[in-house]
Amino acid sequence: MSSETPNEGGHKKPPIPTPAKKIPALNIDKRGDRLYEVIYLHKWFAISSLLLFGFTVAMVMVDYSREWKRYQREFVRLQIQRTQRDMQQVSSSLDRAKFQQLQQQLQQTRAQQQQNEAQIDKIQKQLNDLNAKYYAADENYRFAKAVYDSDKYEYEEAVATKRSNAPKLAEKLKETEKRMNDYKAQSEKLTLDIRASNTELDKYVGKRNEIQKDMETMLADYTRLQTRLNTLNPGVIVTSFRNAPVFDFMNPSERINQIIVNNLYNDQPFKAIPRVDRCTTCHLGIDQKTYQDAAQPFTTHPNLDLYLASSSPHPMESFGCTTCHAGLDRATSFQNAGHMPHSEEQRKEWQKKYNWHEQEFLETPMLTTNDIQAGCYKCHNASPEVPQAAAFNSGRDLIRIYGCFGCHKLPGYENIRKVGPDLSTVSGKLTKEWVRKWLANPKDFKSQARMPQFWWNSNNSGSTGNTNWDKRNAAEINAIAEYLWSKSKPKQLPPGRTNGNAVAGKQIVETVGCFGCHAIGPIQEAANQTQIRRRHGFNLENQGSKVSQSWIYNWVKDPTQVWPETKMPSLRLTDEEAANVAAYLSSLKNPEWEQRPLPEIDQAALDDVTLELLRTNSTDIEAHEKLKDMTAEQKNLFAGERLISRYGCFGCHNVPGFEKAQPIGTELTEAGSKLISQLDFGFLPIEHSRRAWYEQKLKDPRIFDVGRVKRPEELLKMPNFRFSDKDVEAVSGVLVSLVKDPVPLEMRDKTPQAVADGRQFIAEKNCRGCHLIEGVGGDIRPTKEQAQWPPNLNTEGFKTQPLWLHSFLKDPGSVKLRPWLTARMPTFHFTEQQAATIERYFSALDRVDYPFISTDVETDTQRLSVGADLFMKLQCTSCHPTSNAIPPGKSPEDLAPNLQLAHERLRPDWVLQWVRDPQKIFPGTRMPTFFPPNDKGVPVSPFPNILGGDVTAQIQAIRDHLFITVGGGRRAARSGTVTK
Amino acid sequence: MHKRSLPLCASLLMVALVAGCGGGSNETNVPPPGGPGAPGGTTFDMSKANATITGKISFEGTPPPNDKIQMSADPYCAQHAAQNPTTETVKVSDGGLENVIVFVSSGLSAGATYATPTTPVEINQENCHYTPHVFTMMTNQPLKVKNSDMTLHNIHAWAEKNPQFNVGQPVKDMVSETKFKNPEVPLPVRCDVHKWMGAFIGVFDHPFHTVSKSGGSFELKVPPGNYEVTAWHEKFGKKTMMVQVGDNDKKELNFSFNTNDKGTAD
Amino acid sequence: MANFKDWLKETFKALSPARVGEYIQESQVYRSIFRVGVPDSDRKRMLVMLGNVFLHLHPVKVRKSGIRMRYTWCMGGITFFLFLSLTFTGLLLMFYYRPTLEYAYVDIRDLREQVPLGIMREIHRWGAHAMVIAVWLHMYRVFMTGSYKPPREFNWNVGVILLVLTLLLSFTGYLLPWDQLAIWAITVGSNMARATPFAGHEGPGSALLKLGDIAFVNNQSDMRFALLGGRFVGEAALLRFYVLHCVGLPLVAGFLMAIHFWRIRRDGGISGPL
Repeated sequence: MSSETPNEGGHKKPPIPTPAKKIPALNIDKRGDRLYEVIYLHKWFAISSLLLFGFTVAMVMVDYSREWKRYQREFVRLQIQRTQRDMQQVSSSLDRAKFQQLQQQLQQTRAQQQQNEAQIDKIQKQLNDLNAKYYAADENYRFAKAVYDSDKYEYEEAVATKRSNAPKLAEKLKETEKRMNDYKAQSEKLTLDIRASNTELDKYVGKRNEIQKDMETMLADYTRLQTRLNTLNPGVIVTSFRNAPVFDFMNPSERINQIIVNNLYNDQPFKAIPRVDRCTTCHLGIDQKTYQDAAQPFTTHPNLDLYLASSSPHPMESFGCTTCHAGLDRATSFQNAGHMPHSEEQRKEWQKKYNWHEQEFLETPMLTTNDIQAGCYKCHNASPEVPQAAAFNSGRDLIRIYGCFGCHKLPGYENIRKVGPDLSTVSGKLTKEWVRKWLANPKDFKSQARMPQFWWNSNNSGSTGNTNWDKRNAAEINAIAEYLWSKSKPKQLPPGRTNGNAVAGKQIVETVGCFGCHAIGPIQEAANQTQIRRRHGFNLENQGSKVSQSWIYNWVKDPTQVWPETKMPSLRLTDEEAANVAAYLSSLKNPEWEQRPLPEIDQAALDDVTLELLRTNSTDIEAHEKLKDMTAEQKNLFAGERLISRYGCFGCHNVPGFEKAQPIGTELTEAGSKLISQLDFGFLPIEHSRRAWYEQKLKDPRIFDVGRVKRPEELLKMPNFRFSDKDVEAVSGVLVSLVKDPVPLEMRDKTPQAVADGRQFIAEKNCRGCHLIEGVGGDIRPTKEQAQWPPNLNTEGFKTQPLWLHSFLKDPGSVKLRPWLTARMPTFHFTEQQAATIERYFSALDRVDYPFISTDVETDTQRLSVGADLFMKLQCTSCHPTSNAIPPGKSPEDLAPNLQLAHERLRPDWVLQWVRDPQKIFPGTRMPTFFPPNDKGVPVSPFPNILGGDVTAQIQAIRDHLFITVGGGRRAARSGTVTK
Repeated sequence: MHKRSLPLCASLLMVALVAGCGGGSNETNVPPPGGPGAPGGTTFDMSKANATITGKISFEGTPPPNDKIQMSADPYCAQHAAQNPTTETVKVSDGGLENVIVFVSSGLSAGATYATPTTPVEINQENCHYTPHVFTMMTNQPLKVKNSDMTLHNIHAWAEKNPQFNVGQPVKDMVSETKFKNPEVPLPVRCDVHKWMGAFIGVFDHPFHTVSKSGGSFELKVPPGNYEVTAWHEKFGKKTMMVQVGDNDKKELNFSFNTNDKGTAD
Repeated sequence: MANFKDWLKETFKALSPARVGEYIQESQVYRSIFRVGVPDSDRKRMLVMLGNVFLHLHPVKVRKSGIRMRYTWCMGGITFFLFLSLTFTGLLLMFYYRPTLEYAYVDIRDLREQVPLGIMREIHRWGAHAMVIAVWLHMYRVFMTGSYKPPREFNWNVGVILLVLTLLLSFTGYLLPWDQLAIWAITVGSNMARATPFAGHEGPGSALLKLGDIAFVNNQSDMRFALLGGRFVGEAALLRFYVLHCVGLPLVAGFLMAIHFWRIRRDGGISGPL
């Protein structure tokens, strides 16, 4: 047939090829006129359909079995368990006897009821009848009222438009009103009748209802739990139906929970997209108090009143989860969410349990549990510290002390003075030999040196290729030293005293307060804090091998005279004290260091360095030419200048000639969001995460060069600070926190500016080295016994009068408040602006007025006399003197502050709180509570007869006496209650 | 459609529907008899503590003298404490060291609870000294602090595991009451007005503790078991020994201190 | 009693499937839908095939040679089947995927992980790869068996255009997940467009098309710009590719496929001897 089909196009038809083989006929008798045997086809069709069906079912099942559903089912089981346990508890605490009694009573009333069956029926029928009648009457009334309203409107309109049919309408209105009232009367009467009937019915069935209600109340808890159990567990068939594929669109019990956080964005290329946190799909118990002992992922979040609760500062609905914890918000599986293990053990455990593996392309992996404070900074960046984030804050303190911001741009460290000493006067302080030894390895001189090491690191030690690093490093160091000396212009200082007593000096150094900022050698004292603040000032170990005694004398006598920009305040040392201190510090020597010889300068190495530096901006031939013409001194000066430029010494030090130079380090403003592909891991087998890289970098910055072939100018330049592991963790935590997630203003931390400025200022001045401020600080405390501790400045704003505080800060030496303290508050030479910053800070913290307050105390003679009486009875003077003289027999350690100063120093309201409960303001204070609370928490006075035992009145009386009689403070001008 | 399959399908469907209509009953019956009452174990029966550990805390060598107190600041104390002008740090009688807290530090069955005694322990401030100087008590047992002197004393507990408190007692014979929730030994107590006054309390959550008396002797009644017993002195630190007692057993345990023993940082 | 048994027997017989079937088949509703009835004779079979809008796309009778797998490998059929399956899954995916910068990537991710039966995305992607492979194999087969020769040369051309459309569909669809792979693949692909002679601003000849200093073929007006809707692969490219992928190209491909299949029937059916 095909050969007879007409051919379009008119081409000659090719001959029909005969197949070489005939197609075998498959059982032609069975297949009839079909090509294949139908049963045969049926068989294969059946098999393939079954297979297809099977695969489809398998595909749908695999698609539907998600990890999070498993967790949700587990949680439901947990809830059922707990509900059952609660039910058991409730049922065991049920008063069965009472319940049975009630049951019996119920039986009785039921029996009684049966007797009165007929009666009850009759009343019930009556009631039904009345109800029906009432319904009708009520309806009539309502309709009548509607008609009345419309008639009223018409009438009023007629009157208003002065129409002629107004009187007729008035008539009509009256009629309608009457009808309406009639109906109302009817329905009201019916209401009363119904009430009467109900009361009658109640006589018969009332008791039963009561008993039933009692029973229900008894079982209330149990019933509630039972209902809960039923909701949780409606049976296997119902549960599997409602969660089955396709049918789960109706009302599934397993569903994804998500929190859409609108104004905290995920930063993606070109766009900021809203966060959709699906963490609560698995973390089901996280915001409920009762799951603290449950296993993960159902465990309650720690500190619910600080996080997650709707009344907390971080409610879950506004903040979600990934804002703080990072990780992939929209994921719903353990791996995809980006959970990161906090230790090797946990990593191994997760690999086994969850098949966990590192995710190389996840840009925001979750913060580990011991790193969680890194998530705070992106909102809490107004002030330099985050409340209650001690690990994070210690990282920021370390950055401030070690001066990372000198080379790397970091947020929050603008306008801070560079951390290293001024090198423009270096020749007046040090010797060239000392500097050369120092630059080689600062920690050889003193183990706590802050200066990092630039030479003999992982990439410039030994010899590599053609370079002998020993010789080269020595040449570089010498060149730098020569350069510095050539530019140094030392100040002319008066000669210092060198005849002090070292033993007396030691005593002074250990007591007068040096240890608030300084330490001598490694810090030994057992610390409750990290003792970071004692690194604020340079470590004083081995000073005798560094500077001359007369230099030390001039320095401790008046630091600003030697270096105007110094942070060190004056301790108001007398000449004698200063000389003693100088003698003591000079006696601290490092003899091994002093005997160490200086390395020889290899001229060839110097030539190499100079040549290489010359080649950076001239051709090789020109460089050689220039080199030939240079003397050794010229080479040193040239190389020194260029090397300082390369290594960036001006990042920490004032170097003459480099006042305007730009810092050489990478900007770290968004270090927490840096793409991992942009970090050079070198050949190190460390984990590919930001944190791991930062930690490695801080431990040994140049280790990434190991195994690489680099020319000297390509080598990594960051020096090695030899941080301890703990410090490395803290600083890298800060780096990880510097993310570039956009946070709108309304979501940021709302610290008042005064508080933020104050915190910044006290960090720069290291007030916390001696004082406890906002509960943190007091690093000097482990070096002293408790009686000698500098005061805790909690509530300082509420406590002190601004005027007094100002005069104190400007001249602390003039106030003899705590004569027993051997430590001195130094004179910082604050400007007015600076002192005001501190005062404003304290006042803003306590939310009290500043700077204008009233110190008037309103009182009357009677109260004053009561106050005086109490003052005597409470024997305040056994610890508090009321004059500048020390009472006989008492040593200064036994004393408390002089009360004569109270009226001009303390705020009147603060004294009331203080006397009421001193331990609340300064926990551990030696001032006792004279009004301890009784069992109910109400303060009780030891003198119940005075002023009727009213604690508030008694305390007020004491305060009044203190301010007016003891101190001589002014009485209020308008005291209408002054009685004679 | 095959004739056989229709009834079969229908019956299967009916069965499925009926089975699915299961669910909870809705009778308000009495709940089933509940499970055990209070969780955990019962209070320990003190009659089971029938084994006795006795002993003596001996002191070798000459005891170091106690510091003399400077009392001139408070005339009341200077007058009334004239008989007892030193601190009471080291008290040795008959070669035995007194005021040593002896207690069971480990070996008690975990989870056992002990009844809290309701009789209060008393500490008295008289003649500008604390009496007793060292004593022991149980957690949540009431402590009564009395001031028998006519001068201001305050009782300041330098506790670390319990909340600190500092209560002033300006009136003679006034009594303040308090209690400690957590076990802590030692718990120093000081007066801030009179710096030499000090006492030490041992707070335990079990009743197996005592203080050595004259001659350095002590006696502990414990249930049978294997225990670690610790002796603690405010100046000479602590020493531990192991002892095993059976039912109604009597064992002797002797500790020995000398001048070279030093207390560790408490 | 006996009456009852009889009555039971009568009822069962009346309710037997055969009788019920007969009843249904004689009703008006049934006859208005199925005009011909059960196709149990050749005439009836022919009438059914010719009268039904869906079935009339098929020939009534198929040659033996047409069902031989080894000749055709069924590649064309597989391609068409894949096309249908891609259309269906693609339609379902359009309920969840939004072609904007914020949502493209996360929607695909959500489809994979969150949406029930989001496995449609996987089916769609794998189907796309399979379709491209199948269409090449189909072309290979047609070439190898000489089925492009007259009278089938027009159909071959239509088929080539369909091939190009398939590849374009694949190209436009590749961008839609908006991940690194997608963006850079399209960047590289579209960069070729700018090197086109005359029509691309970096191609030979484009510099000739200017009047003095005014270049008419510049990077804002060349073919690459037309393709991307911008100078780089961004929001506009995503939207443009989405519209092309979901509406434009499938419509054109469907239209051409209709011609393709009609031509096959007209030219004598599948895999007949030449």
